[in-house]
Amino acid sequence: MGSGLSIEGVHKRFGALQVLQGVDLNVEAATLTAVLGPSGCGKTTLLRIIAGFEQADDGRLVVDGTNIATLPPELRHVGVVPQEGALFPHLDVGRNVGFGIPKRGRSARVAECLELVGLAGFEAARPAELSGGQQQRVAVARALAPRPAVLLLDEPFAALDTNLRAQVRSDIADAVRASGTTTVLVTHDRDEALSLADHVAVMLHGRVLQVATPIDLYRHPVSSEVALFVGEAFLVPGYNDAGASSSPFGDVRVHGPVGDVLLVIRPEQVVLSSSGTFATITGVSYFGHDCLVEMVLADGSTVATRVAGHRSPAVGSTVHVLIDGVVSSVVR
Amino acid sequence: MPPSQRPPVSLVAPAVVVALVAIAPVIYLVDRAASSGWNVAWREIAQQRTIDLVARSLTITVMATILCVVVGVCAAVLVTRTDLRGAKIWRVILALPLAVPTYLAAYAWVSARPSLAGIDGATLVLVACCYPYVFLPVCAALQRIDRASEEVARASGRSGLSVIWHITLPQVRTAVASGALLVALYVLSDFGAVGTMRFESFTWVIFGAYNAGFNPSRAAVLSLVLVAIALGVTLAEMRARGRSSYRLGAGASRSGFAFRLGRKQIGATLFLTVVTAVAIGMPVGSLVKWLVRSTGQQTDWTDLRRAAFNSFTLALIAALVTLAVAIPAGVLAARHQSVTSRVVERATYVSHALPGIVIGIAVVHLGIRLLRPLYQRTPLLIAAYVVIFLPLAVGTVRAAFEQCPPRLEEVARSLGRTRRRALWQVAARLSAPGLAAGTALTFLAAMKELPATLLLHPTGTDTLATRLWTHTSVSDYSGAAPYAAALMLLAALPTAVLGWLSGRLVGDG
Repeated sequence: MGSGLSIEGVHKRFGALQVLQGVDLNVEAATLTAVLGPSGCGKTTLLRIIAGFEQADDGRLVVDGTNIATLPPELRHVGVVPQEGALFPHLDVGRNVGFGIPKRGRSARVAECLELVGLAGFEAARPAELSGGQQQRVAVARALAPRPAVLLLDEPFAALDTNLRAQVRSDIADAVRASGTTTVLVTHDRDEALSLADHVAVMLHGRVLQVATPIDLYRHPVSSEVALFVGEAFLVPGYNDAGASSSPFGDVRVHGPVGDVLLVIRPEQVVLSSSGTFATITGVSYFGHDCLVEMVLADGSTVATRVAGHRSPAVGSTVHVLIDGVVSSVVR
Repeated sequence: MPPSQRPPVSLVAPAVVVALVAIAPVIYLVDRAASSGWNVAWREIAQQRTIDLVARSLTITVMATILCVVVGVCAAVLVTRTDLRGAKIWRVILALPLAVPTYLAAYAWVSARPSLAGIDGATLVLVACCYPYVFLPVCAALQRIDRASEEVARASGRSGLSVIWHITLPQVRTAVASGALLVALYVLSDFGAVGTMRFESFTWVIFGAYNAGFNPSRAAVLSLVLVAIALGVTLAEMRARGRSSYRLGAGASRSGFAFRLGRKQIGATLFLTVVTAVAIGMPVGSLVKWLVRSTGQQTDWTDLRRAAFNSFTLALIAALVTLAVAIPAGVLAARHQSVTSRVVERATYVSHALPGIVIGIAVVHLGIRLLRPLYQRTPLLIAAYVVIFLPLAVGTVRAAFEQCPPRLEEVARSLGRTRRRALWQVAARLSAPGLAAGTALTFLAAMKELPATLLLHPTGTDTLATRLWTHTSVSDYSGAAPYAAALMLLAALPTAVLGWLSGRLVGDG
């Protein structure tokens, strides 16, 4: 343990399709990095290359100063949790978890790993008797049992139903953190990536476009594409002159490139207020705890924001809106 | 993502060797045909009687295959998808005709109704004996498919029959196609039924050319034509099969609802009863009749016991060796879709269309030329069995491994297993029922095999089949009866196992 993973210039082509075009990513030791991207961006291929199930056409995978890119999967010390777990159906839970560890001390380690994922005492259960979430926990225990240098999670929560997902994923993230294993989580779910990971790598079109902490990524995206992928946003043209720009909302504070830019305004930055720009409410969708308010500004641009349920305004009424905090700018 | 990894040499090399062994008889045939000159060969092919022969053989192959598909698929749907009463017992009973050698069934029919001789009788016997080749794989495939699609179709207002036709059957196309392929190749190479029914198909004429006229080059040329037809059939199957896919769902595939038969219950039971009566009742009935007649005669129990022991051991060794030899080619076909894997798999199929007699003679020649010390020894006979039954075994190995998702092997490898150990500890364990079924099938076929056994059996080592042949060739049915009974009893054992396995193939999963 205590080793990071460094992915350097990984290329992969399937026939005419260039799936990965030079992926660079540094995963710090004992941290959880999420690779976030839409389906088809190459993130699963990247994961399979790290695991050794696919060979990269070019590039290096460095763990502990050694390039593991040419090693067969069994010598890489890389644990894998595939989508839907892929437990061995012919083995009970204990033998699934113990599959990758030597006989000596096996039962103790199996018990330890099952405890870590909250399934202490489940050794004798058959995979078919477990719920989806339990299967996923066993798959994580199985991957952690041999103390891998790197753990790979391939959309492990996608198949779980929504009610279960939040609990399973926070438990599993805790288990992974407690083990101190360097972890790569592949997902297309931005909430999952932002809430679980220490660092998020946004992957689009076979490239990593930005790696940052969730806060930095959300606040300071490097491009409009990244900005729109990690969360909802309005893009409005502006001119960043030393940290300030005019906008349909009046003058706003700006962080990011200067000159002609696009301002990235997050819906939660738009707040109803007693002063500021005039806006006319055009629609309200009520959800109880909050509501989504759509409005049109004096210059004709439309924006939406969320306000607490008990502050729901009436359709047709006129309000003032302000921008709260600093908006980020991206190159136009 | 497509598994893009190139297959390892440790898998490709043995597979290619196996493919070469499988096509060795064809190489011999080409050599033989060429030795008398290509002009002679061409004249043989262009003859009117050869063209008639091709037409006759194609007719019986197409007829028998279509009928086998109809009977096999109907029976499989009834057994796995409806509330048919006694479905579990039917599944075992319907597999049993595999235990009946075609020459035995043909004798039973033709001695009771001599007018059946000819194409009608031959077709009847071949369909009765071969439909399980379709029934068994289709049963297994039907159990494997996800019921959700059927339920959705049902909910959208389709009738049960329409759902089966439009939703269920398209999903088992692979199994139907590979079953049909086995039937077609079996019919092309069958000697027992056509020989007994005096239907002049390829095998019958080739046998005649070897035996009576002793014209080995005509026999070789005709055999090559037969190989060409077989290749055509396998190519057709490749197109009909489409792309295979396995279920990757998380949980167990639910054992969903059954289609209600209602008043059709009686019709369905009647249909299955007729099939069973034709396929098993008739040969078993005749056998009993002969046995009763033979009670006056003395049966040589020592000889019977020795023949039974020989049949059993030879078939068992043949089945195990064939399975071992088939694994590389089957795994290659299931795990690494490529031109190489397809060519290797198809090469093993070529020999399936060759009559046992042709393979037998090819092996005899190879034996005399290359392996003289082995001639008329057990290893050479086993080698012939391996060549004959390789397609059966490769097909089952492929199907068994295709069922096991490759992702499980990947996980095993990430947990420190080498490719080979992952294959062994995960895929092989999960495909064990499929592999067992394949072994049982080969065991059965080897026990029933006649022509190659007649040619190659070690001197003094008679089997049930050869003893049976000795008696029936002089119309001594009563003398043959004990051997026939022993053969069918021994063969019924693995067949019942097969029927049971086809229900368990998807196991606890």
